[in-house]
Amino acid sequence: MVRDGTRPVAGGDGRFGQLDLIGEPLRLMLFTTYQFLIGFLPAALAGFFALRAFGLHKASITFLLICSLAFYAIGSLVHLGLLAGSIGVNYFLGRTIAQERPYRRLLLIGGVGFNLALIFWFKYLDFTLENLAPLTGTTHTLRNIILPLGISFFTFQQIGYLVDCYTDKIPERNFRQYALFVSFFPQLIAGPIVHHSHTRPQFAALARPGFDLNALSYGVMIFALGLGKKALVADPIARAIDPIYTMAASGEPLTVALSIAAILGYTLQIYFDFSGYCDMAIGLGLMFGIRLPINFNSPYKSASIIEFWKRWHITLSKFLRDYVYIPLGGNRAGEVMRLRNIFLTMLIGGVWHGAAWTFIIWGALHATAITANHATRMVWPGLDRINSAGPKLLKRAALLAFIMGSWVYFRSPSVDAAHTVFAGLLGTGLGDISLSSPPALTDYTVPVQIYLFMGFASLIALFAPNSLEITGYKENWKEPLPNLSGPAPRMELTPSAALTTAILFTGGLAVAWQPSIFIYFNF
Amino acid sequence: MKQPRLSPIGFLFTVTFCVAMLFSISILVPHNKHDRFERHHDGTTQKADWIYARLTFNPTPVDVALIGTSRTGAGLSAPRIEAAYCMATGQRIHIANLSIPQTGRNLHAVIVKELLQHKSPGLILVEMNEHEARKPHPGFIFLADAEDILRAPVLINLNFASDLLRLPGRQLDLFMSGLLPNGSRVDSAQDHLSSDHLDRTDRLVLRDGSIVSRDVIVDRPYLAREKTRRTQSAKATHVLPEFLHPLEYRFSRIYLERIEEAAANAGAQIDYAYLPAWEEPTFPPTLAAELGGRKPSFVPTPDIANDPDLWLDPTHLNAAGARALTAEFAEWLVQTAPNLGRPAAPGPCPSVD
Repeated sequence: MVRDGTRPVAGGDGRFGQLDLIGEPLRLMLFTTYQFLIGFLPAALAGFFALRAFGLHKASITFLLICSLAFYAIGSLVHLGLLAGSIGVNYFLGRTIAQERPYRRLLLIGGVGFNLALIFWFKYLDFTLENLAPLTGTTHTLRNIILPLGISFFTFQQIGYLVDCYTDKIPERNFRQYALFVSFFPQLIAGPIVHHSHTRPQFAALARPGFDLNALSYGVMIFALGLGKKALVADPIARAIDPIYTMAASGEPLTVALSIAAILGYTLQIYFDFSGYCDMAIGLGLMFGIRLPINFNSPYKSASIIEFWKRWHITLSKFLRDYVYIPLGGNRAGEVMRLRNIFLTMLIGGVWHGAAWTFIIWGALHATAITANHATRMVWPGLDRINSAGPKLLKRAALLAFIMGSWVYFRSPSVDAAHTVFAGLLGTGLGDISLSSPPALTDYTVPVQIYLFMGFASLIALFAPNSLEITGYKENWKEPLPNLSGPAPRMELTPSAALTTAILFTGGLAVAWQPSIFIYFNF
Repeated sequence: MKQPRLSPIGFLFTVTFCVAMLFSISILVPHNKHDRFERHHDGTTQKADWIYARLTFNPTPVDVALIGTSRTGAGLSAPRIEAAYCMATGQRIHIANLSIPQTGRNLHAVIVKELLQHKSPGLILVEMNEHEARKPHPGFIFLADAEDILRAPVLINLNFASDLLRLPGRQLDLFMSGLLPNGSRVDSAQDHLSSDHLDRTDRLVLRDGSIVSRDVIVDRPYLAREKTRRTQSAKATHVLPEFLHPLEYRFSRIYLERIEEAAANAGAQIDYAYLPAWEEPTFPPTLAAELGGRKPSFVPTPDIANDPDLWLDPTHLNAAGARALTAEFAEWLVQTAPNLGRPAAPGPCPSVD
């Protein structure tokens, strides 16, 4: 018998299980959880429409704000004060900056600094100190600061707002609408990053009477499409490839087949995950009568990296252009400086995704690629016009190869793990190309059905029209829904569309019994 | 042919109707129950795969089944009870410790149902504590048959709605996984065939293969601190208003009734055993009244509950405590049920040490 004064490892009712498995359960109410789908969302819709039915239109906006704050509080109660404080400070700053005062530029700098300080403290401080420690000869103990949900999004959104207040001098005077602009729950946690000018007239319109059941119906339809992408495509792929990245993280060599599964799988997982999330956000916005900006537009159909960033996370690209690239000087100081500014902007975009060397490498790769693409256009302007089948296919293939390779850094828990994945691909891992026979060190294999499923998903990502094209969604709230001016929408309010929506919704609910997290909720 | 365009109300109604229909249908899709018990969705249900294999694939009979929480898992050693019983009576019996961590009578009913489908135990011992949990077991949704989830009590069942809503997902998930080859499954029934026991009284083997010894004595201040923390978070006998008191333990009563009914139908005897906490030597009589007059037949001597050297934390015995409790339990079993395991199996009594 050992007499031990320390805390025992096992004990407490049910604590064996927690020891064996994982730590705290996830409290965040994801869009794919049944708590959200069956509880929160119907309650929010019912309350919102009931208030409007009784003519309490302004109260319905307040209710929507309360719902949004409750949504945030369920996932991160301790940080609700931070969000509220951030909203209050930026609201006050915005109104002050918009006034003709001599120190308004100073206030703008202070305001932007305040927001950057917030995000730096929570997101980058540990990483910075940890990497500075060897240089300064000190040691740094990680504080493991918990990252507030959505901080990257709501701080960037408010930085944009302050700059707009400075340049346009049109601040939001209604605090409730400003708070809703920042905290509107469909976009609070993972974007899209919304311009104040985009939602301001829409929230103002909510104060006027009116029901938009058509928007509600299309919202349900688009939401279901997003739910299907996330739950039925992204999550099954994630479950198949996550163990491979875990193996890579622990230094286990990979077979060629496993490396292919890891690279192709994550390329598809992040596509359907983020695309699905964006659809769900847009669908949710529509249910409450708000058109959120389009954030995702079939990026894997791009023929160049420049085009890719006009289709992937569109609102982040626009933000970086308006609030980083242009303030850096944009193209105003010659071509070389323009290329430098492009590079720095993309690098910042990479770092925005997370405080880790993997994100910095990913950002640097994309920054280099997009800068090279711009430079090529300068010296060989005709390249973009060579669009016959062969060269176009070659360009798309080269781009996809680059994108897929860069995603490995984005996904891997460490740079070494990423290199393990590449080593497996090059055959310098185990050199085993078989799909079925397990390699020597592990018994994990990806079922052949998953490879076939990934092939099918690839076809969708590369060739199928996207959900917003299918439904005729336009982000301009004054345009009709569906917008019939472009290609005819394929999903109108028909019985077959209702059945498709129901199948996707049921499938999503079915998977919701054990949901995974949205990748972009991490940023 | 162009389809008619529905009104927004018609569209929303059609979607809702179709979702309800699809949900109902999805509950009926088949799956492999072995797969259900092999999956470890919840940390508390990790022992389920061994339980399923022990009851289904292992031909060794079960004379006595121990049903309970981690207290039973940590406190009662089935092989030691078998040895002590054999030494006292000359009869070899087979005991299966089918306890699963975490409280919740609904899961006890699931395990008993599985037990009675495959084995014919003479005695089923069900654990009782000084506090009766009001909450259902979180692992119920993972292990229970669909019909049992559908017929779970509605009133004062905090998980009823969520279990019901998660059921179609579980069914479809298990159905889909049945279509895939066992690419990622590492366990198999064969691994468990030779294992009559999964004894956790001396040590605990974690999933990564590391071993946590229970042969440890902890500081008394630690025990006291943990007990205070536990006492502060513990609920009183009643947390509901007085007019709702009859409902407060209804959940447990219903499942205990179902367990008793199933055992009676199978000809098995049911009894209750008190598994104490540190410094909680007696089973509260008020709780017996709440549980329809049910009270434990086996109550260990206060020495065990009151000796701090026998506890790993306020609710779990350490290895020495488990040996002491096991010895008392075996003695009680010999006196209470001396005729288990007849006709006697040939061979010498098993040895543990």
